[in-house]
Amino acid sequence: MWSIHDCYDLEALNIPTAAVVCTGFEPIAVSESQRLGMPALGWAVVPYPLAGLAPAEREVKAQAAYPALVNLISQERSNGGAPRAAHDAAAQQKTIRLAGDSVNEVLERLSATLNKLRWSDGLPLVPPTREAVDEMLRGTSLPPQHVVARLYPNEGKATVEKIAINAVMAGCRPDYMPVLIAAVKGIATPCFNQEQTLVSTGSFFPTVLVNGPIAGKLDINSGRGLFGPGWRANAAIGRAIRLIIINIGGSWPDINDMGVMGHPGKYTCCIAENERASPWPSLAQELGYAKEASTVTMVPGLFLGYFSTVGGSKPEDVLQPLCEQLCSAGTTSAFASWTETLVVLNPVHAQMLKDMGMTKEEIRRYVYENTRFPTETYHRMKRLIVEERPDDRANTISTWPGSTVSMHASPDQIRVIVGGAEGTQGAFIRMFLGLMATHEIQA
Amino acid sequence: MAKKIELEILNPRGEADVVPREPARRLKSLEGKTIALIDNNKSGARDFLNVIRGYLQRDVPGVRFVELSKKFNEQHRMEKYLPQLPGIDAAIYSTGD
Repeated sequence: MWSIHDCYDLEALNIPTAAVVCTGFEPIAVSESQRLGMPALGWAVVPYPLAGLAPAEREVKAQAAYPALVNLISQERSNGGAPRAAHDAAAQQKTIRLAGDSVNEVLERLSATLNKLRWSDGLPLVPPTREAVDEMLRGTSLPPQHVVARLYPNEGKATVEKIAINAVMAGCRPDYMPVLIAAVKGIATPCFNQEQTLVSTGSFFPTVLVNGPIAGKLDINSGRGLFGPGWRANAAIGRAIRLIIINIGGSWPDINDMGVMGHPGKYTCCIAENERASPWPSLAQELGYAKEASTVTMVPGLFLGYFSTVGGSKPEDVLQPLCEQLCSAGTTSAFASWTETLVVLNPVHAQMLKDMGMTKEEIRRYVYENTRFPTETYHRMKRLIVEERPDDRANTISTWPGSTVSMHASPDQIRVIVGGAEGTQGAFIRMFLGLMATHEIQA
Repeated sequence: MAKKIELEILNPRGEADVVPREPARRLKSLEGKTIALIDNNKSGARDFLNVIRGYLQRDVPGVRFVELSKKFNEQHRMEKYLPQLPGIDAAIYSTGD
């Protein structure tokens, strides 16, 4: 909730503030004000929503909030040694002891205890004992106390040791550690926009995309069912990233992860590019990395979509079904110009397009030119979320009857990789508020 | 009787440095003051603030306003926007949706 952050900034400049917070969002306002060290930040709570109200409804809500808003800027406020969140006491402990009469009982107690503390994704956990964490730390040459990044929403310090603890809990092997460290750097890269993509009502699912030789060494699935189950590396790396976001970032649904619907990809989402089956340079190579380099690209996914085609003899036989499906991704399609789209072509479709003489650049251009909306639809979808401003892209496009506008502002916002196997299906990940962030994996 | 099985696990939580900071001094009166009405560009926020603006105009002699619509996907610090908020004494900030 960036408004609380902005109010904090203004308070620090000695400007008193009052925020308007809708019902359902008080927990994140509390969480943000505590994280910022200013629990006395104040807000008036207004019944959700504010959008789409009739004037009389708006009047009722404003009238109810008005006295509180005036008081907030005119009556002294103080942090007054406000109490910390209840579960913080346990957060201060270096270790937790558990006991039971059987292995199963102890493991059940572990999962139940950590779930109660909100230190879990809800699934059974591998116990992060000192011995297991030390073994995990063998997977990296970085010192345990090295801070890789600070993760939102609490700006928790992602030390190598904390990453290792969560990696153990997720079921990782020590040789996954370099991938996790690069992934954490990716999340904290400004373009990924963790401040929003980790907390938004939009239910983003951070996706780990691995390129280079390490994908084969770790047996990360890039072939059939790459988004699905069955591979330990895909499952455990993606799960570790979620546990890291929960435990190091301090994220929790309905407290400061406001995703309205959630997403199965929030449990785990890790794939590799099927470079062996690709007729083109990999994503990492396109970004300037050497063929021998291994990289992680963190993708702030919002929407995982699929398209199907048997292909044919012309590029549009493969690409038009993709474009039509991309255009169907709803209101957020009107915001594609803010972000990126990742297209995952299966090897058969990729080879067909290659045989038709298409390069990745030409595919990007095709998708850019063929994912268009009627201008009127574009405006309507955009207005459902934001107030249009004079500097909006929408105001730079033609309003002639029958005119259309591309979803993306440039072909460069479309990235193409190869994944999966023989069949008619392809996939895409639509983003919304963040961009992909790539880091080289260091041993 | 079987022996108890014990397990000691490490804490997975990341530490965060929280530096407490007191909020700004409040205004003794809003009379003649300049209030910033800030919205996050999401639907409904500006309309809501316009109603609040009307109440303040009705109740507070000499109150003035400046308005800022800050895109919700922009995370710049507020210092960057101060030139658009000249001489403000307080701010009311509404998020839309």
